[in-house]
Amino acid sequence: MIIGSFVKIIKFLNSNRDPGQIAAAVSFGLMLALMPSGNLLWPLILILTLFLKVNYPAELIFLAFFKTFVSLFDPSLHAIGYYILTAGIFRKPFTSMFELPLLPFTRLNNTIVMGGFVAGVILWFPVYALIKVVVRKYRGLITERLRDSGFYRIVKKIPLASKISGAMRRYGKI
Amino acid sequence: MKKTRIGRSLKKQMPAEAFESIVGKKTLLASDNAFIRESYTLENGFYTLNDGLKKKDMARLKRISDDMSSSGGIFRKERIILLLAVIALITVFNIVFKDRILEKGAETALEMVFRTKAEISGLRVSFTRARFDFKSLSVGDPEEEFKNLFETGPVSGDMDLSRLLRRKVAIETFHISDLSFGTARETSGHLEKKKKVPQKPADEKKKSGGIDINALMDRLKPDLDSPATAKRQAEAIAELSDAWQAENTAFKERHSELMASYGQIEKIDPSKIGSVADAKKALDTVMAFKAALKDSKDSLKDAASRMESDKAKISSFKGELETAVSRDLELISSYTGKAGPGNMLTHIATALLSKRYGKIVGLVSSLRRRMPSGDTKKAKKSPPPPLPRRKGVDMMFPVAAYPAFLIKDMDISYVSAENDDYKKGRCANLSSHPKVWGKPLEVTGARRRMHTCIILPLIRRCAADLQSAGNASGT
Repeated sequence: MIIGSFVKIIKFLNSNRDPGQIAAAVSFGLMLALMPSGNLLWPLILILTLFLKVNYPAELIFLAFFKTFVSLFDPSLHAIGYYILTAGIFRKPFTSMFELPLLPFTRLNNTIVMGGFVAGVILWFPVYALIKVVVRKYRGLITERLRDSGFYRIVKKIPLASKISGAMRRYGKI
Repeated sequence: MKKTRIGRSLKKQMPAEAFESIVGKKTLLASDNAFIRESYTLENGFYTLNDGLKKKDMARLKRISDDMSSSGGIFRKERIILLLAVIALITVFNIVFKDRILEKGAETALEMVFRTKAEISGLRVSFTRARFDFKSLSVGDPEEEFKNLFETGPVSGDMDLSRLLRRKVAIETFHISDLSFGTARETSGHLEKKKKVPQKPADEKKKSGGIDINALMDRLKPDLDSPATAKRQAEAIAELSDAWQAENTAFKERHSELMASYGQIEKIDPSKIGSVADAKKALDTVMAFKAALKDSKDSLKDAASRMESDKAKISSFKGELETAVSRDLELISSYTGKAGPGNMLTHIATALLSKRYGKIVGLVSSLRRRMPSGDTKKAKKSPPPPLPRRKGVDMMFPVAAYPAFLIKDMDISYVSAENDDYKKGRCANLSSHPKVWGKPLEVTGARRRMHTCIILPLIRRCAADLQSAGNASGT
């Protein structure tokens, strides 16, 4: 399954598909990783991505990747969340917001949830733009050269590479 | 003009402008761009697909065309349509089948609980308004075939959904009417017995992959620390107990000796001391008592200090035993796979290695155990408590206070199966936070027998003003 996911990503990178899909996947992966999962907001964002044109294998892989070390940023996320939740200007809107139905289940009154959500939203656009540029550059510079190079032909003859290539043929449709 | 499509974006013949806009903008890979351009020929302002293209080339063109068409837009239309279809299906299910399925489910659940027949009629559930009601419920008596354990008339419940969505449980109304016990029923209340599946003999079970718990326990015992620790501690406690019992006996003996010496001192009559020898004898008796008393004091002090050290020793046993138990638990969990696949794999690998290179692995592990390295010290230490990860702090906002749990109105009426006795109880404004809710708690009981009705307000309580009422009014 993991190999399948990687194959799908590689195939995506080497196709004419919109690089925005993979950029959005990475951005959402980061956003979801920054937020703790025990609240209503997390599954809501995940479900939202099911209805958007996002590359899911990339989203899940990047989510797992970011999750491994995101707890290192907990103090910073806590500080951001604490700053926002205790800021006088937001006190009234937050009070009326938490009066609304369903909002208490999002646990946005938690410092890490709020910090993670805000950091995720802020980082979403720069990460999206950056990954989009990177994918375009990759397609323009690396994909073509790789295809034409002798190295690619040699690698293709390696048993593992041929297996991946076979899997790529199986997963013809992404 | 040929309109045959290749994939979802390209056609066999396309106007030059459309071709340029699709191929120029959407083809991001230069090789694919060149390939498409090679496959088409420009004639009279139209790009036409070359004849005689190979099957492989056509497949590539189709793939590129599909890739290009999937790039536009933000939403996945097909999934949104699917979601709408699911919502429509749920709505239909909600209207047509929901109540029947829930009625059957509730009956099955009650039958599983009471192990007798349970019948519910006219169940209606509304998830959108958090409301339910049914006309009657009867649960058979498991001991008597033609009797009901209990039976009710109409039952209804209504919750405040908007409060529920704010994490507050507010029961608006809850009515149970005509509850009665031990009523007669026309049909049998017993469930049809299922045919028992013959059990396999123990040996067969073993062959079929069953686990021999005793063998497993015998195998596990040598690896476990806690039984040995517990045994050692029990022995140590028994030793201490014996020592203290001996000490107690010695104290008792010493006490009786002291009492005897004291008795001798009491017998001394100063008026009868007539000579120096008598005085000396009396003095010796007193001095001997003083010395014995001092000895006893010293030994008591010594015993007190020893008792403190023994106490500390016994209290350390608890931590030691807890550490051993948690270590064993971790080991057993690793065998069962509950401590995570990684740990289980480590043990499987160790088991395989010891099976293959048993002597070497055994030697290495015994040497490791004997080595006075930091690892052994670490192993003796109790594991640190898990750090709270990704927890944060919950901030509180001055939202309008509302009780976390509230019953606005609840009543139960009871009818006796034997006589005309009828009882009714009502409870209103039962709140987990009475001060927040403000309204006084009301508990009322009413009883009617034959033609007499007695209404008894039992409690009327306010947060600030507590009142208990025992008034009775009869008609």
